[in-house]
Amino acid sequence: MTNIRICELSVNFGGLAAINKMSLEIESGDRHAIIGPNGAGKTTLLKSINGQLSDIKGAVFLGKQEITNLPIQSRTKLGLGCTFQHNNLFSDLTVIENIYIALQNRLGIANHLFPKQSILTSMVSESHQLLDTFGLSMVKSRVTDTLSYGQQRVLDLAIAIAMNPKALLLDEPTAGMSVLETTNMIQIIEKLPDTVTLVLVEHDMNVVFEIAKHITVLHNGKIIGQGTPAEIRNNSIVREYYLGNKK
Amino acid sequence: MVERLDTMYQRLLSRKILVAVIIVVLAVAAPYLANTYTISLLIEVLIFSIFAMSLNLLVGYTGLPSFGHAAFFGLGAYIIAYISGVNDLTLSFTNNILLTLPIVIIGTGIIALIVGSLALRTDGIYFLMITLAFAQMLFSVAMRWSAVTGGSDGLIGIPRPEIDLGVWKYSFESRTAFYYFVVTTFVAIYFGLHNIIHSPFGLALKGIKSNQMRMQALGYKTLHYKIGVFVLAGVIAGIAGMLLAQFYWHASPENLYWTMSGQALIMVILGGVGTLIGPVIGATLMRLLPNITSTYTNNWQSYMGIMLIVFVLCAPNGIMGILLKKLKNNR
Repeated sequence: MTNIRICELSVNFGGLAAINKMSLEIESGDRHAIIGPNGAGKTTLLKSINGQLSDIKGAVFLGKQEITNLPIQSRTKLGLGCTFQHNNLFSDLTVIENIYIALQNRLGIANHLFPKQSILTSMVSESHQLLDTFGLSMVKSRVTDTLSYGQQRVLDLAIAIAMNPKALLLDEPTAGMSVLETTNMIQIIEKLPDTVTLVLVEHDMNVVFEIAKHITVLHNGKIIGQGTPAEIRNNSIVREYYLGNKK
Repeated sequence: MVERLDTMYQRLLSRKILVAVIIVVLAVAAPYLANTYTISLLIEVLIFSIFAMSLNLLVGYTGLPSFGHAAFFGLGAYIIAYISGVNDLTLSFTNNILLTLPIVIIGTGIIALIVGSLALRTDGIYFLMITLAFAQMLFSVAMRWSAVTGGSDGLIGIPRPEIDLGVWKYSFESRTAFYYFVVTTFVAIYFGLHNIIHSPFGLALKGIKSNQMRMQALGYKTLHYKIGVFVLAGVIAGIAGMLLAQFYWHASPENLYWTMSGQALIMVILGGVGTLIGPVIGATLMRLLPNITSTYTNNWQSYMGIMLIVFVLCAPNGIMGILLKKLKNNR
């Protein structure tokens, strides 16, 4: 079943076509990496899907629902999650409060002054489970600002997962991380539930080949190659444009 | 280790309870211990504390820099003046608190809803300017439309409230009775706010202050939350304004003026932004200092100004910020 479908998408910045009549289908549960050189349109593509860009032509579907012109909030409600290239957390709140903010909205109690005790209890236990899964239990009461960069990126992902997304867009999840932090992040991403469709923009080819089931290669706002990691490795056009021609 | 932590926690808890008991006893006994001047001062402090706490909901918890909060303070005063005041301009309808309080709440709430829905579409300095403009607009209406508002004299003859259940009636006419009435209102609002701040709604407000864009990405309709807290803060400010008018028997256009908004902001900043008790400390200082210093000098406002500058530069989190830091270091 298709989870994310993009039809004839075009995005222009001034006279420059960042994305040029692109069509793309991503299956449910796929681990789909978008790669390509700088300026290929990767991040623009992600932003067109998650609603950060409003001036786009073409159509974007999540499941059967067209989301092209929906505001970010509605896309989130439909099950689209995202993490950000630069940390985008509630930096003066504690780690667990960051998680609560996501959970309480999903559980529908975010605007409550007197929430039901039973819902609160389940929220607390779910947040502890999440922190365990993401290895953040030890720092749950710390103010987010004081975490290491790598931990902050993990928390960013944990917040997105707390929303129970059907599809999750990851914008360079390991950018700026140490080798150790990158390995940890790969393990965490690999453990994410199979039901979640992952769309991943990433520069680090080791990360891409580790995680991705399918890869789409962009160049100048167009798709120049698509396939499994093995196919992409052997695709001559991709090699010429991006991976380098050396054996 | 765990045991030691437990006893430490219990000691802390028992200390907290002890402090609470002392405060309650003092508050109840105050009219018997202190002279009328002190009681009047105490009433004023409590009323301005309520006003400052309501502004802190916006400034401290949601990050909305309102510079027109006096609008709702004054509105509360004028609404109670209009429905309960005894003079030629007013309705003199009732001063039964069971009727007047809901009217004040609904009146200030509706106006706050309208103003908030417009002003909250902007951010930062623009929001500040719109709230200021709205308050100044109300001020000039109060000054110019004398046939209704009494002009620069304001409205006089506002009685202290009473509770009238038909079969049973009690009036808060005396200073002591009114003092207890204000204390009760203060305590109710304080614990109400305590609950709100620790509720999911309160966490959402902190989230908006911290990172509004991420809140939207998480599916929050942040505008609705901001309008909600704006109405809440407006209503509480209105209740404070009502109390002040009842205390002085007088609603004055001064209550709507921008200096009143400024005073409330100073109380919040001085006491500590984003803490519940901070604005109470700020309000206490702001009302006490002029009374103390004016015996020695006429220029207390300059001293106040210097103090504010020092605080903003050296202790941006106010007195509560300093206290909390001390407490942390002592552990």
